[in-house]
Amino acid sequence: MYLKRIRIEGYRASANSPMTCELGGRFSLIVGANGAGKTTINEGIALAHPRRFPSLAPIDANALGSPPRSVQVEYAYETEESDEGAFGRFRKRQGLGAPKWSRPLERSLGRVRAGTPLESASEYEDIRLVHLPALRNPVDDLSRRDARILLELLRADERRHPETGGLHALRGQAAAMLTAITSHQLVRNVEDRIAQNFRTISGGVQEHHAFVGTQQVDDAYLARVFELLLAMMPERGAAKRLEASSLGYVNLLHIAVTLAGIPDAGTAPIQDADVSRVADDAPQDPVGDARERLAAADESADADADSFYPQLFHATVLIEEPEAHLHPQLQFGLIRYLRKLVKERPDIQVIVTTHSPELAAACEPEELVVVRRRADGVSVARRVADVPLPGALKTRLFQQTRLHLDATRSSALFGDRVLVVEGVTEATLLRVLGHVWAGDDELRTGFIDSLAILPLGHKVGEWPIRLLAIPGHELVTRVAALADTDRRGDPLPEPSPPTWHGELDSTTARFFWSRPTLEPSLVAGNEALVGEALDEARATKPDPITAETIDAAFSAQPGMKGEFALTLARVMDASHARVTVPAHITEMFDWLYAAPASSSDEDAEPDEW
Amino acid sequence: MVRLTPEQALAAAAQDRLVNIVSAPGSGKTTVAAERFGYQRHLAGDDRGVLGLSFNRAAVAELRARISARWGGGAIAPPHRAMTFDHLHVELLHRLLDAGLINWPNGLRELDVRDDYRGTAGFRFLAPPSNFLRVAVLDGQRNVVSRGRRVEQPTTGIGNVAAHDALLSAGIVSHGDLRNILLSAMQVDELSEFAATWLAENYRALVVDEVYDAAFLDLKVAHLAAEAGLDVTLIGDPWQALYKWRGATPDKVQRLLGATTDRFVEYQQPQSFRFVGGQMPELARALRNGEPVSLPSGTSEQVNVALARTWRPLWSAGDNILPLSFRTIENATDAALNLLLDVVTRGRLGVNSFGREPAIARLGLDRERFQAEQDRVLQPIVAGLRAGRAPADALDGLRNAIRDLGVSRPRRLGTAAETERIAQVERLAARLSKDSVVPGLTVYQAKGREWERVGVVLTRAQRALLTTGLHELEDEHCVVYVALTRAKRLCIRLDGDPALDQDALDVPADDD
Repeated sequence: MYLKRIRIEGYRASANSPMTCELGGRFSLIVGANGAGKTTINEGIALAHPRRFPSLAPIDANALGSPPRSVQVEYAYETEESDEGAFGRFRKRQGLGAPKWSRPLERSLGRVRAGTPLESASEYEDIRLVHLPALRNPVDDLSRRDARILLELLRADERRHPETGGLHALRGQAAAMLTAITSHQLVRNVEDRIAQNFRTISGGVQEHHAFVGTQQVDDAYLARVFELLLAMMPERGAAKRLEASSLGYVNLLHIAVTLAGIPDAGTAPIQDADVSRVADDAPQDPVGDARERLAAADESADADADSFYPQLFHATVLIEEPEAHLHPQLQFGLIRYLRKLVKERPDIQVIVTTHSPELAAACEPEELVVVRRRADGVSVARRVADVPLPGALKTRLFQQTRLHLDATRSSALFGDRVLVVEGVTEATLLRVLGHVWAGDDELRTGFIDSLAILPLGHKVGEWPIRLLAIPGHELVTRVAALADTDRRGDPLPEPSPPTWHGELDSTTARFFWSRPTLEPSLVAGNEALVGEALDEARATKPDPITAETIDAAFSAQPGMKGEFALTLARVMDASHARVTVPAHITEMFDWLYAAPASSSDEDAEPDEW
Repeated sequence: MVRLTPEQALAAAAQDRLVNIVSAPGSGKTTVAAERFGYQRHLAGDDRGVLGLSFNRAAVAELRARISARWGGGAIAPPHRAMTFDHLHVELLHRLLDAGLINWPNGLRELDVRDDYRGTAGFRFLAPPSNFLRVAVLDGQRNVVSRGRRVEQPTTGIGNVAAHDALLSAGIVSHGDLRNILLSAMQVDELSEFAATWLAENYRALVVDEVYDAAFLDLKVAHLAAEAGLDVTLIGDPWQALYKWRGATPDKVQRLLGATTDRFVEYQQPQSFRFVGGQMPELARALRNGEPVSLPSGTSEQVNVALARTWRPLWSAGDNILPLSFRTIENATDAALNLLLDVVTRGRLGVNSFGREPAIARLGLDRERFQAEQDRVLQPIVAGLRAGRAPADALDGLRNAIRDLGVSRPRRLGTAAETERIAQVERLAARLSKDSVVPGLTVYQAKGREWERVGVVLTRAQRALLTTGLHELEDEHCVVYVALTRAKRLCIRLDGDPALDQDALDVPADDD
């Protein structure tokens, strides 16, 4: 099963209008700009689950909007029976539906508190939320405070490999080691001296004996020892303590340890003592044996009570910003690992929320959820897989998206405002032109700096605009495409776009046309710069330099175009003041930058806070 | 920390697959049951659960509480469960419906299962010889249909076929009817195999508490489980099998114990924690050994409780005995008298009268409203009796009070019956002037409980049984055995009214 839907209202971004996020399976990636509503979803998921680890940091009650305030979750069974985990199979056998419940969100002592779920405990008591929040401190968690994660790791492995003798055997070894140490004469002498001094102080009031080696060798003790031994370096000889290791690796380790600590659902905790069900040949002491077996059951019960995971459970793992301190290559490795994990472990669901374009690019489009703020200020979460397109078209567009993401490793595709162009050279030129257009205006400059300019590598066709800008299911706020008319003549003919352009909503998606192509359209007002660029590129300079002559020159020598474009960009970048931005480009940037109609009349707010 | 006796430890941690634990009174039966559940639960195994079963909700609640107290709150977490057999039958029936193996009217697959048909149209008192009770059964085509059965004893239920059909078509069914249906279903090979498979897929062990309260259907399910490879543990005492008259089939337990492919291994729990002093340990031992015993005589002033097989003898065994009921309710006057008695038992003993709910239903009173009005309306009558009002007069006042509550006035009975009820009121009045009273219970209410000093009122036949020795499993013997094993320290015989020694007419008391 998997968490399929979460609905939040009266909280943070959903303060004025409820927010629903739908997921498609046991692996999802939620992308979105700051302030779009990702935190709302993350905290909503965390608040919704009564059985979660670790505890959520306190949230100020200002995050609450006006009532009603609640969070509702709905799980769903897998579509393929064979993908279902042990807990899901159990519930189905009992004739139960997939778990769903809701909790009110309340104020309590100035903080937000999730109230008692409305449904009975049987809905939620076997779902475990493991939350790795953005503000986690992996070094702290692993080494100083949270030995629990490591304990779970030990117990999980014990359930998987009962033949290793489990924690019982390990504890025995640790106890033996401890005894050996404390029976050393040096330690004995220290003990005696302490005891003497203590006797004098307490002077017969009540003698306590202070012993050095009285620590219980319990699971917590084991965990402390384990964490000290945990090595990061590949060669065990050069093992370093955690704090000294690279933060990126520690982050990965934290994630790995947390995930490894999740046992397989349906494996029963083992009985610690050496017990077999085969009757002994000649039981010498049947009552003693019976008592031993009961004592072993007791230990197992204690271990059970201690463990975060019951025998049957579903674990939803929410990882915020796993890319922290990670080189892009490692980020890909992480996603690969998480997706593989989810395939192999049907009891685990992973939800990743991220800013990282690399992470988004490493995923299948169907796994992506885009969180954005609509024109009217309402936060929405949209599953890419839910775009309402007819079947064949949808398949084609998704395939292309997959290829694009794979090739470019860029998820600029899911930016807030996107400019789509034919090639890298166009992208370079436009970035420079954008800076000229922005001038001294800081907001405009910021906009241009972060504008997602997407070079396609081919003529601008249906992809990606038809995917990104479907009315009612937009994945972006505005997408502009700069295309070539490729039609020549005098006067230059209007563009003749394909019929599907008519389906676009002009407030979210627009085509802008260079006639006939980009380079000729830049000539007017920039003749000198064009000349300089041609000189630098050692290309033949037509005389005079006009749009037509430049167009003709490149039609004859198409190979020069790329070199020329890059050189022109460099030249323009060196002296913004001399650059004239063509009308259609200015129009394009104006449109792309403008706030969408339904917000305030002032200049558009920047997307990033 | 409770330390188990050797016998308890051996039984709880038995490694045999099929285990029969025989628990004598005071041997800590529930302790062993809880221990056994936890032991089975923590055996290394697969993701199937351990299922604890008993026969009424109070018993299951007690079992749950003991298991949680002993093994922690997580002991009964999925897939492990504890429920009544009735609940298990509900699940089984739903699974059969889901699989399309049984057809419910209107093709329903989701049922509204109730304790009984109380509160529905057509629910009424049915008495022999002319009334028929409608029951739900499975016909040859695996459809659930309504059938009529002549009533042998007074009972409640639906008498009208249209009313019964309407209920079934709406998916409403009583536990009794559900059991009937499942019983027919278990006679069909394909259906019983389905049930066996379902049990085996979901559970790896069954722990059945109070197995001698089981009816044939429950034992059949336990048998299916045993043959399907589950671990099965039965816990009970064949000497305390009291519910034959209600449908339990204790002798069939022995049959189950002998009818499985693998054998049940018996673990006896003879040692009692209950009996102390000079009399009781020896008395209990002798009784269980089938030896003749004798009881010292005494008076009701010497005991904490009085026990008898039926209610009536309790009224003439001592004026300080306050029984929780007069007799089986046969008419509206009896119902009214029960409610009057309820005021006294609540005031003097802190418990309701036995049969209070049926009495309210019998009179047609609205339950909530009566709850609010009862004391206001009936206390004055009690006060009047205490002050010396004539019983016949008080009875009349009682009838008026009932009428004033908005229902029909209970009718005067025939001369002999009326005289008897007046005598009952007189006896009640006698209790009112006593400083302290002790409860009078039937043996059925006393099962599972203990008191320091117990007085038993025995019929002539029962006294005869004591001189020859008791046998397990036999109804009347079990009643005597249970009665005599309730006392921790002292058990005496109270002499009742010899005129009441009508063995042949003894009607078993209804249980709640």
